Amino acid sequence: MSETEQGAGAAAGRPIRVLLVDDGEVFRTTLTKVLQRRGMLVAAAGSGEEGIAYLVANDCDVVVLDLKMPGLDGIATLERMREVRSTTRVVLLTGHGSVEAGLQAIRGLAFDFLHKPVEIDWLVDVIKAAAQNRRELELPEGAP
Amino acid sequence: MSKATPAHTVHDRYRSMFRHLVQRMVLVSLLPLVAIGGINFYIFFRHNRAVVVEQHANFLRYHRESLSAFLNNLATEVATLAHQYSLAELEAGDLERAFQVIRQQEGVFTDVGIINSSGQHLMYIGPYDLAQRNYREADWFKQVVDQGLFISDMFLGFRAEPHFVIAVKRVEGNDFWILRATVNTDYFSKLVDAVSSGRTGETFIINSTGVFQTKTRFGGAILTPSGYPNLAFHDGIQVHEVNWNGRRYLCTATWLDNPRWLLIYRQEFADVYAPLWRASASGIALFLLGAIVATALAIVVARRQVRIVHKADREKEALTQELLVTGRTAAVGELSAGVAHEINNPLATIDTLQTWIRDLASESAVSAEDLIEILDSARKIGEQVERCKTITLGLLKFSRRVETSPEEIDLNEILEELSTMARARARVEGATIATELGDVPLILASPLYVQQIVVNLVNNALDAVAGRPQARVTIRSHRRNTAVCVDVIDNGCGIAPDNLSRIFTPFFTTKPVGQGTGLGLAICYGLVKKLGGTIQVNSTLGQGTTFSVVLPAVPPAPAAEGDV
Repeated sequence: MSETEQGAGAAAGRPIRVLLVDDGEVFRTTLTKVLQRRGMLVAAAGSGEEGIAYLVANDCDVVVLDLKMPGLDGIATLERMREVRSTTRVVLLTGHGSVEAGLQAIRGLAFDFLHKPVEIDWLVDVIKAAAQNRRELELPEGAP
Repeated sequence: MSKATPAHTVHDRYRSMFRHLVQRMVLVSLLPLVAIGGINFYIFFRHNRAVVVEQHANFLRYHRESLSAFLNNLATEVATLAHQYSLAELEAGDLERAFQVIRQQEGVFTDVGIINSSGQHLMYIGPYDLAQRNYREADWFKQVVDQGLFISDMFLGFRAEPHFVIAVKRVEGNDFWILRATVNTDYFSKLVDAVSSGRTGETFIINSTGVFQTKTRFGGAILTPSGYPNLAFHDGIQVHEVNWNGRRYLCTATWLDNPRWLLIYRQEFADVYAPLWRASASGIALFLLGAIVATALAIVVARRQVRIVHKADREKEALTQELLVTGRTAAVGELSAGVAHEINNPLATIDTLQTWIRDLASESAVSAEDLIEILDSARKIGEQVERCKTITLGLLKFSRRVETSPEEIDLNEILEELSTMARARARVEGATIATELGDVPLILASPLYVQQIVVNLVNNALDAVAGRPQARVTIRSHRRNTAVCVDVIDNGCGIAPDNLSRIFTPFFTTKPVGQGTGLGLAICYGLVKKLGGTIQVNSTLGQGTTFSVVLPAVPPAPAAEGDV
């Protein structure tokens, strides 16, 4: 199954570029490896500031962003990222669901909103859908 | 629970409530009764007095007529005697005969005598030795010479006994002589006081200077001053209330024409109104019965009311207890937000690690390198599980506190547990929790209550620092004299001075609708009071707030022998 998905990712032209922002080191490094194994190009950042710095320098299809972090928190990071890369899709991850975070997602700033612990297959599906969404939006511009 | 309040105080409170209720109800029901009774009695009294006065007046009017007629008759008798006979005839024996007749018939006259124009006693018939007396200087002698007929006041005279005389002047030729008769004092006194009513009713006479002219039965010897205050002449009948020897009398008085004597009928007030009192007795009995019934009813009603209040109090107490539980649930809920985060994060990591293990294991040939990585991942899973365990253990310890009865507790132990939980929430909020636990004595309190007080304060502190830079909440314990003090210090938004006085009021909150119940601090306040402590707040707007709870320490055990 992961083989076909990897194939599908490759078939779309180029691999999906993912930025993973989370303060949990073990979670971050392991998820990076898991996603890489599924054919994605994964960059990782340990804080909101780091993530924004990365985005300023590099384009990215999907950001997987932890909502609660020390320093710049998820919501502030999300807003800054939208300013830096307006088409980059952001998937929010959180350890405790709050109404506020849900509202931010609905307001359209985030592509989706997932609760920890999230099933990896589901997360992969959401990342793919987000990337697909972004490419569909960009295609009309690059098509002619 | 009313454990913190001594039982006897509560009991006293209901007892005094009962007493007040009874007093008020009795007062309310008896006041109209007293008012109506009083008014009725007053009207009855007035009416009765009018009736009595009228009776006395009628009697006196009649009595005056008969006394006047009596005195008139006596005067006529003496005058007839003087004019029927010449001096010579009288001296010859007619006087003696005539006097015998009058005296035997009536017993009215004590003696009789003839006095010549120079005042010398010519003839005397009677029990006293007065034959040689000369009356030239006597007042009555001058009066009768002047007026022809004279009835004297009561006087002592030569016989040195109270008496009064009726004297008539008879002119014979160029000279005149006087016929004088003495009225029997006892007879006259009895005649005056012949009719009386009640126990103390009596009739007597005083002269125009207020001196008793007749004997009295209840105070006042003949020829002594009566002290009667109203001696001005008047027509008809007058009614006065007069004090004699500390007793109050109802006096009815009327003047006689000749002599000018005041005829008085007097009766003691108590006696006058005796029939009234007797008549009132049934009314008073009725009133007393009413009072007893009213009091009994008041007691029944008051007892019921107090029981209702008691029940309401118990229900309120139960409600408060329920509120405590609710408040506790809310406080634990607030903290559990942090707990969820603290558990969900390791779970997410575990999930990722196990996916990675599966990824590696699903390869056709697992390399030695892969195996090492698999083992490393398994170890990391173990670490994450440990992290979860720490959290759940803390939560369990925290929520296991259910004991509401007081016991000797180490405050620091509770603060330690609590700060573990609070740290979980603080991490989520981006705040830090610091503890500064000093050496404190044991306190006698319910662990649940103490925990709830501090949890509420810490939750509030975390709310106050949320979203602020260097957010920090410090939980500090220290000894203060014989008490233990817990400070919860934050560097948050502070409390507006206007709100400071209201923060302990139930349902007062500055949090958005749906986020604060406004019960946290009210519950804190109630619990601190229940534990016999105090709670204080110090706050600077924009700089932070310090809540200080002071709880009494367990008094040092006197000579605890077993302790080492």
